[in-house]
Amino acid sequence: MDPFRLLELLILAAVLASFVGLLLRRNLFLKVLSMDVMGSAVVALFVLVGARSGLRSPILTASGTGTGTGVGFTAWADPVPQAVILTAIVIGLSIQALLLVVITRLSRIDPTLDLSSFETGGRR
Amino acid sequence: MTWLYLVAATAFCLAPLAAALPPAAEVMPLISAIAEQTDVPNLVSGVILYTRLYDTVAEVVVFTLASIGVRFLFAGEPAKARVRGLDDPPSVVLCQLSGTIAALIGVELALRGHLSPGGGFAAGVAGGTAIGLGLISGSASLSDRLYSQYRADLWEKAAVIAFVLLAALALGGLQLPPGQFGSLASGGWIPLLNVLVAIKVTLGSWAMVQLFVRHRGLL
Amino acid sequence: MTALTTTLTAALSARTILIGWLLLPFLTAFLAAVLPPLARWLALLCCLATGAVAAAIQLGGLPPAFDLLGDYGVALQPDAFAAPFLLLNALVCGAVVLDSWRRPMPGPFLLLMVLHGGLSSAFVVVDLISLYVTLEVVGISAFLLILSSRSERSMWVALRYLLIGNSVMTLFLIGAALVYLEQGSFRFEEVAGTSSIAALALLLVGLLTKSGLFLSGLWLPLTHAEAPAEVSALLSGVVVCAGIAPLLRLTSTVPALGEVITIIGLASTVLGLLFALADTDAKRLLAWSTLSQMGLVALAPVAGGIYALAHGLAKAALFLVARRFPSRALQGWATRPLPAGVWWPLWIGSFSIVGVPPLAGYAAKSSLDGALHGPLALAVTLLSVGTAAVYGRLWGAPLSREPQLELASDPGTDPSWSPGVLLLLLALVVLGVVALPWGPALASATATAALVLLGGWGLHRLLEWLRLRERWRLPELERLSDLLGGIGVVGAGLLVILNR
Repeated sequence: MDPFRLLELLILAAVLASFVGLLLRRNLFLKVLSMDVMGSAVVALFVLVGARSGLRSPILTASGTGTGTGVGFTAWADPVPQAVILTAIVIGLSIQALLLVVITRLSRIDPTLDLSSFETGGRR
Repeated sequence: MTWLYLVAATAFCLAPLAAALPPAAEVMPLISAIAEQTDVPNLVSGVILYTRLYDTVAEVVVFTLASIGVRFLFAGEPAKARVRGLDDPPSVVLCQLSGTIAALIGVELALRGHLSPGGGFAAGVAGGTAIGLGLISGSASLSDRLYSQYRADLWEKAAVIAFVLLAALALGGLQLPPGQFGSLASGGWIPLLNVLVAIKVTLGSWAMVQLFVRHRGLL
Repeated sequence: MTALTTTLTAALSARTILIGWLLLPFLTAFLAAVLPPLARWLALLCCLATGAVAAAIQLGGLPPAFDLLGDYGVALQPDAFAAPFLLLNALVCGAVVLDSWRRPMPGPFLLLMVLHGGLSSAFVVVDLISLYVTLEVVGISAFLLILSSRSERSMWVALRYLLIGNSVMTLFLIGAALVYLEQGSFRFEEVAGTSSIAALALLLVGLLTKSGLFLSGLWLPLTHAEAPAEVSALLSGVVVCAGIAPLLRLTSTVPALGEVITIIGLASTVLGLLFALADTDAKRLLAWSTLSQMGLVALAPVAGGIYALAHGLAKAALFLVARRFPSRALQGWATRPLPAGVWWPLWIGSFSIVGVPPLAGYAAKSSLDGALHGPLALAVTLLSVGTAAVYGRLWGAPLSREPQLELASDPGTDPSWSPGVLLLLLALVVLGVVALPWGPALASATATAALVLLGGWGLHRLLEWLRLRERWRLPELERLSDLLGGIGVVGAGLLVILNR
């Protein structure tokens, strides 16, 4: 099996695990954590996609002038997925912070944070 | 119903494996194009603060919204009278020492983020860590006083405004004189933007950490 | 001297104007946080700027597509497709700002401006990652607006909204990564070339959930019904469009998606109608109707923009007046008189959604009819009868005959006519009249509309009789586990349909 495929399988298994966690966990805090696991799996996926062309971090040496030997013959990693996922990490962190603060407020209604205490269904 | 959901979720999440693996793309044209456009060694910084600057503006906005949102959610809560922190002298000294190192690393990451691994967000996180270490080692009330005395929340917003303004100039195509490749003053707007992001993230995480300490009594 | 002139021309080029317009709301949002007295005016400025850009696009004064900072930069398409969505954004946000002069806004103006900027951006970007980022901006600002009251109920509703929204956007990112793996780019046009069905399904699930379509959109009724009135108006008026506009763009770029989106659109319309007919709460009825109308928007990319515009204006007006309903319960609705400032918007807004000339909804329906053909067009007309039956439930209330009561109320309370609602209704009428066909076509259009209204009213009476005899029982689909499971089911269903 191609190592890329194997790693992809592991990452997708983590996504699946987090989806199942989101579905089955009754505790709101664990649901939010499951969502975070999914976010981490996606980070790993982007790093994997970026490493498809090579493993060397895309930081050129100061002597290389961008088109000369500094760039020439190395298997560079793709900088775009890495940069993109950095953006997504910051966004994920922000959302995580907001959700956790809301959860600390909700924990005053039910300290066990069980889903059924909040879910009155669609009807009021 | 749950079984149906589980089967569907499994099929859905594992579906990407069904497609054939495409051959690895040639990355050299991309690398040299970005190196030429941005003129900085750290291409990831180049992508974040030049080619995909538009996304980064939104990212900075999201992070600021988070710190505003945390403040808003805590606003209705009573503050805890007593803040629990470390008080044995060895821990305090260790915290202060590592806090100082984190602050120095933050400055380094912000200033040289376009040359070596680093960048504004990492620098901001290092700055926030420094402040967090100070908070748990007994300087919570001092930090609280400093935060309100110097109106740190306003400065955070000012940093965002400055960032959006500079980003507008950069996106509009206005260029700074290029410096020497690999020197501190090179890469156009990138170092300036890095520093602004570092300030913004430091102040934003300060606000969040401070609020957690004030309203929960510990970090 | 020449250098100066070139700089000036560069500064005033259409490109820089567009860049300035896109970043303006973010700039003013944080400026408003530093200078609160200016906040309202700055928000109004943002809405005016968006309206002006929409008009300029319609007149052809702006470049329809350009890349920011070179070939690898972010691609934007402020084209004719985006214009109606931008106009909708300007008008609905503008209406909420206008209302804030008489009545405090829920939540700070900062959030409204950030939301406005994120929405404008979502309508013009054609890059998967920029779309992800802007949708998250929209999602987080909507989340904070929903919990502006900080009540426990709103905390739960907002948590549910953001948890689902962020989970599907994470799935969307997986789809984007798969597209990049194969194509080496995040642009919409590259999605057409991808051979990975899974990537398409993941991207679609994200956008379908954000647009409130079918099973993946079942988060919508509770969220839209429980938010404060202004926030509901924003959510149902424009925020759903942040999902559906890119969805339509993708559909028109990737032909393989056409069939599956049509199926989901029809299914969503039927689902929304059934639940709207069965619900017992007026605000939830409006929210279910949003779900069904979004299904119609999804049917045709060509007509989607104008349909979303007409629906968004009307629905925002309806949600703005919903604040002043004497009671949200639909039982006994016909016995409670409504003041004129509620009664008239209710009739005008719902007539527009049903598609009665000369309102904007009619122009939208006829352009949708033009884009569809055969049995699909007939199905849309039949579904309009269902829509008429849904709104028939709100038409029973008489007009209150006591204007003195309105005048006597002290100025601190709600004004009898809200300026925002007036703006939206005016836009509905003006847009409708401009697009009106004159001559024999008008007569046949009026006849069709009359038939639809009659059919709808008849259906409503029939259902009312059934409702009296026996309570309707529809499955409860809005528990959190069902919502998340529904997302998985829609994803698996997409895989099956796309694999054929």
